[in-house]
Amino acid sequence: MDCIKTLDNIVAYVQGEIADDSLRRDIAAHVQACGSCRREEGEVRRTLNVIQEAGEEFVPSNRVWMQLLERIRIIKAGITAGDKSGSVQTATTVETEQAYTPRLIARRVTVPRPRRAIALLISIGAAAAVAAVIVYIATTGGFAVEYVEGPGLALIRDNGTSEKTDIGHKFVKGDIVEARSVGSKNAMLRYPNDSTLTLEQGANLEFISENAVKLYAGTLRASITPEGIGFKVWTEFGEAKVTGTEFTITVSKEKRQTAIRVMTGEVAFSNGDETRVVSAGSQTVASGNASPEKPFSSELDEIPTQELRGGHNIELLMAVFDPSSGRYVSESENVPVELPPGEPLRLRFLVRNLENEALRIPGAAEAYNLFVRVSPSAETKGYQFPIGGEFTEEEPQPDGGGFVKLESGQSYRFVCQIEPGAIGLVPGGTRYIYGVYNMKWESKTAIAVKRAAMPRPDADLPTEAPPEGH
Amino acid sequence: MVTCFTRAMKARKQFASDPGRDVKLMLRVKQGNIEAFEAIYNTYKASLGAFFYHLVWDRSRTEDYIQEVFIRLWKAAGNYQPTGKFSTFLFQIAKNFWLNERRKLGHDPARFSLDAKIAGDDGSRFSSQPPSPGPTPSTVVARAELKAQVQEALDSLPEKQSLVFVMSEFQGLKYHEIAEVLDIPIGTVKSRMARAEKLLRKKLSRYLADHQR
Repeated sequence: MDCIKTLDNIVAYVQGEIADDSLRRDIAAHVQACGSCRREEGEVRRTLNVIQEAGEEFVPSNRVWMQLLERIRIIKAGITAGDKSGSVQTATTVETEQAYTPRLIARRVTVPRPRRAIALLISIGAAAAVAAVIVYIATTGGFAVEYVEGPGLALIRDNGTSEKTDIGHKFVKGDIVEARSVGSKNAMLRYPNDSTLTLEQGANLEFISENAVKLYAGTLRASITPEGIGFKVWTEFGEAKVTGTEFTITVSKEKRQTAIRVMTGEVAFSNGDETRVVSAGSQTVASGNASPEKPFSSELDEIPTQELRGGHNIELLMAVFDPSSGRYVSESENVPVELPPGEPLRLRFLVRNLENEALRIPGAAEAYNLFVRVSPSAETKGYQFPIGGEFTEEEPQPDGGGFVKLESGQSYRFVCQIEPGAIGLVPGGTRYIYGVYNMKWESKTAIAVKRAAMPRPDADLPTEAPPEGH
Repeated sequence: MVTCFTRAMKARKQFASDPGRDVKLMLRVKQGNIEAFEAIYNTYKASLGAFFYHLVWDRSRTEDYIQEVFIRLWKAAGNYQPTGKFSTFLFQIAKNFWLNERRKLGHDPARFSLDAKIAGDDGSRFSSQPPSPGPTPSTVVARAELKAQVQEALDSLPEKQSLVFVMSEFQGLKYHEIAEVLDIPIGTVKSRMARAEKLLRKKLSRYLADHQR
């Protein structure tokens, strides 16, 4: 082995691409013995490492998959229309695909201008194509989902118009429906295998296959029979795959979020590159392209919003001691709730770790203090009470949650131990706290407050640690 | 969340494809099966993401390109014949798409990039999220500088070399896989890679000298 042959192979050698064992050994031996080749090997290694450092992992957001589904649906509709008219080629072109207006998807692929004209011309044809698909599926043994109860389920047409449907209507693959019921009545749909889907007002979904729907917005409650195992709900910010269960799933376009709550069975919930198994009694949420959060207990009921108004004011304050500054930093929530006068209430709270790696400060916070104040009036807001001094009751809860009686006009302090990492301090003075508070009355009233990042001016923050011995 | 792409990570992240499984899935896709298509998508989305992102350095365009490639795959599924490796088939679609796109963009994709070369481009600059306490401002600046320099150096490579380099170093393909996708001898992959490394080292020489350990 000489220098010329070694240098000829040096990049491949560094990359581990020399398949021939004896050649690799010879190069290794030469590099070991020859100073200039060793330097060259080091340079190659360093160059490649520096370039790799600039690289990034790239996982596309769920939006890409949702848009793919949309486009495939249109292509399929085009092919069917083409089959019927005897011109498959035309039907499979991009123009046919673009004739559809994906009104539910915010971002569209740009169509070159000349194609738009063609798209317009054949848009009527595309509408006919969708109708053709329906007929095609219905007559070839495709599935049908029956509308069994509840008012106001609309079938959304491709051209953006909608059509009211009646109980007994059967929806098929490719249909998009929207629940337009008023008040608390929900629309229920039943599959041939007796699995049911309940759509709350505003829920908007599409039937993709006999085992999959795409939820664009709103809340869907699914009760899946054993025959329906493997049922999937795709959303823009996550995907739920069911292994026999009952669950609700909510898509919030505003928050760019999908939340899932499982009552029985298990649901594998994926977003980005990660999948979390959510089991009975748990819930989780996925935002944007981020991994779903670690599932947490959802035994606390959903928020009955009609009970969260008027009367007294409950203030939640979560504070954390920052050892580097020697100060408590905090974030608070004002949650006006109905508090029956004079009645002591039992409050349950949970503070959970959001596992936000980016916000983790190793060793910064081991204990979190959750402060709750019940004021006699809803007028009481803000950070009006000093930390310490006022608290009359304290129930340490080693598991991070617990019960305490609350009485009007009193303030309370709890100390709960949870894993460090849920709270982040940003250097430079602005502080953020990520946290979730779930609170429940014995009477099943619940408050769930989810906070995203909320910068607060320093002036709002308590500056002293509460005195010991409360 | 953007993660730094280290060599060790690359080894782990190299997509785990199973050729037999891929072919079976594609035959189902050929029948119009969406679930099979989704399985293919999930297997290859990150690999195609790595390929396109390190050619255009633009997250939104990368997503558009991934989508276009999979749409082409869906359309091509009807004519799919399980004669070769599926991954080669898919990466060829991606490569052809890129070459067309590059021509359309006038050989300077970065010029059209909306979010290229933004300092600390990790998607957080304009987001409502608070800055992470992890990296300090100086490391963010240093990384942005590195990224800008690497991007510029890669953009300056001849098209054939940049393709081989990105496929090898970022997409994590082996030389023999690159040879199949580009339909060139493996020796050519090796020599293009070697030439690319030399050019890049020269382009980055100042950065490498300034950051000498």
